[in-house]
Amino acid sequence: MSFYDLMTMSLGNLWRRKLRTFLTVLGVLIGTTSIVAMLSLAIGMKQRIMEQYTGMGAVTQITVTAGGSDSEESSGGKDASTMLTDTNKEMFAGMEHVKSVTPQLSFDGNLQSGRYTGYANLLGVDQTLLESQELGEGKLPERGGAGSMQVIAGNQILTGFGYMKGDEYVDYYSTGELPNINLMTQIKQLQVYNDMADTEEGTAADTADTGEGDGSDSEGGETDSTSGGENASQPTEDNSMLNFRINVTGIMSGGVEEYNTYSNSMLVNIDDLKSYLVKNFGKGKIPGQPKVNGRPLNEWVYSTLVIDVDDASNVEDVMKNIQDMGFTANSNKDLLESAQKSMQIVELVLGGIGMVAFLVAAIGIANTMMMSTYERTKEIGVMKVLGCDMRDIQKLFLVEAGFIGLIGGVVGLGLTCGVSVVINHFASALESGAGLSGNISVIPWWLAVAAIAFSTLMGMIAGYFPARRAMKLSPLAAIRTE
Amino acid sequence: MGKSEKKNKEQPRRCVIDVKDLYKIYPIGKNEVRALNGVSFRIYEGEFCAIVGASGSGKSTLLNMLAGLEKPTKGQIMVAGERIDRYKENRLVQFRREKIGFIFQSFNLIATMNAVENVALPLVFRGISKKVRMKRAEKMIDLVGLRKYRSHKPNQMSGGQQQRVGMARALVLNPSIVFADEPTGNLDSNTSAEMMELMHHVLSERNKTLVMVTHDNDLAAMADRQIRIKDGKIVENVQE
Repeated sequence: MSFYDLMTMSLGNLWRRKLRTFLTVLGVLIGTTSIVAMLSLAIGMKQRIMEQYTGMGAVTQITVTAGGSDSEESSGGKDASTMLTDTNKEMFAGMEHVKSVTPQLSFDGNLQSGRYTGYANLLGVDQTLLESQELGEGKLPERGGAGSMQVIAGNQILTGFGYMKGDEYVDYYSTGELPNINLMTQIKQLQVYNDMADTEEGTAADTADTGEGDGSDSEGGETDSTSGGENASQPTEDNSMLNFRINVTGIMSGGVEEYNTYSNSMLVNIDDLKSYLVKNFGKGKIPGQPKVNGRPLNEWVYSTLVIDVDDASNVEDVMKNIQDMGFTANSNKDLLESAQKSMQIVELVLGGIGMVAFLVAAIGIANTMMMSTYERTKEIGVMKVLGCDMRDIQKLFLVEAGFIGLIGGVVGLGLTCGVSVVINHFASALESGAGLSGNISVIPWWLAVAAIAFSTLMGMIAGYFPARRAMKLSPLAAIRTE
Repeated sequence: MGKSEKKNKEQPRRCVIDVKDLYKIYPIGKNEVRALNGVSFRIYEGEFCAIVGASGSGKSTLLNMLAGLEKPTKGQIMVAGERIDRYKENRLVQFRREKIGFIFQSFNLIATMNAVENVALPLVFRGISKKVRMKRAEKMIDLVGLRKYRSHKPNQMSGGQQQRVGMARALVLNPSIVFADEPTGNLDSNTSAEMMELMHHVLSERNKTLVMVTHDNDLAAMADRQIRIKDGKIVENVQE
């Protein structure tokens, strides 16, 4: 039998029993729809999560911090080779697959306003990062602000404010109310813990009003600190805090519940930060800058270097190389991979639920085809007597079952695409206020192709045993049936 | 007689069916029923042979075995030079497709196909293209005198017409032997006679062998050879 005859004959047979074919196809249609809809939801969810991760920090980024063990030791015996110096920065930039290296300089500190004490991480970053931040209010800092550093405050900084009320610590998380503090007008300084008060001289030469923090914008001339102890590990109380004068010009967008990498940070242009430090503390006395054998290095040492790799697949290699050199390196990739793994489980569960419906449909196909062999026993017998090859009879039934699967698959896919559009339409209307983007239900082309191929294949598998039965019918028994 | 003499002049008559010592035993419970109990005979090319017997005599079983639809319990069957008693089902199908035409008592036309399509059906199984097979089928339809009915469905035709379609279908593959199982069993006597006339005429013209099962002695009388069966044994083998 030629392929064409096989096709027309099976379609003709299906057409002969329109209602039964329709009902069986309906079953497959529901099965396909459920599987594709479930998977499209899983894929949509995955895409959104991926987008969120990409938003939190590109997956091609590696964050390098100083050599792991060294940071715990006193600075005295530090080796410059694993410090994040300009030299090392250039070295990283020269590595294979590395696109760019951006340094970051960070200081942890306290903020005070009235009885409230808050926390912030002052981060000196590249100008492009500053400019890429979405601001909820205020404006971007201007370069080279005089006297004080102009910063952008993270959107969650206010949640860190609290005070002691008796034995109780009162803050946003215990009361649910944000303190009434205007960051842009009421916060004028950041008290930085001077972890480098390791020299006998007044490292914090330029600090003012240590401990009080009442928001006054000091001139920066007073010297409040006494000389530090000989022992680096025991900084004295007095010079342990340094006051950085800051001026919040803008606050990041997003409510207090919306987390991102910088929501607890204050971002400042790194060059502004550097010049502020040099100007106010003087070369060699800059806080946070380690000293080798008691002497400051004549280059900047950064707290973090962010390395941009050309492709996500190279992140692993580059990270390993950097770690082998003795640095600590992290990337979002691990996080991303674990997220992907959990998404796979979600996909499996959703796909499994859809699969149940499909299984029922497959049983429906098997039942229909089995009925068909009973009904057509005589016809099959006649065909056999007339010399129809047994394999051709088997093929005929397989093709019929396959057609049921194919038609159900195609129509089901069409239906799912429609449903998907509707879901996405309503979802986007609901979410437009929440600032979320992306579709809830996503049907990539491969899912569409796979769905049709799968439903056809399942149809043929379901039709296999009926087809075998038809093939094995004795022609004689078949003719005798009246 | 005159016909066979004429053939003898040209060449010795070829034996197309040679059956030796054929048994068919059906086990029914603990007993066994001997549908065929040691049957041997020969049929020659171009012969019109009638297998006659009462119902239950085993004549239909014999025909089915000759056409390769049933396997013998014991014995040899040589049809058109092939030992079909040794064949597996797959090979039997091929054998039928290449050598045999079959006419059924109840016509067995495919209800969804019209006359021409029914006739062309065996050609489909041979993988012959639609154009060629339609041409051949139409020729056969013309031969059995149904030109007017070529696009009629079986349920739009009388029994006689349907059986003509059945005949055309049996002949379309140009088989060397045609088997007919009570071909007139479902027809009235007038139509039966017409049918037999046509069948005889068409087949002898092409020197085809026809083996027909019947219980009707009048029809059997038209045959060149009558093989009479009773209780699974040949009681008479008459050549006219």
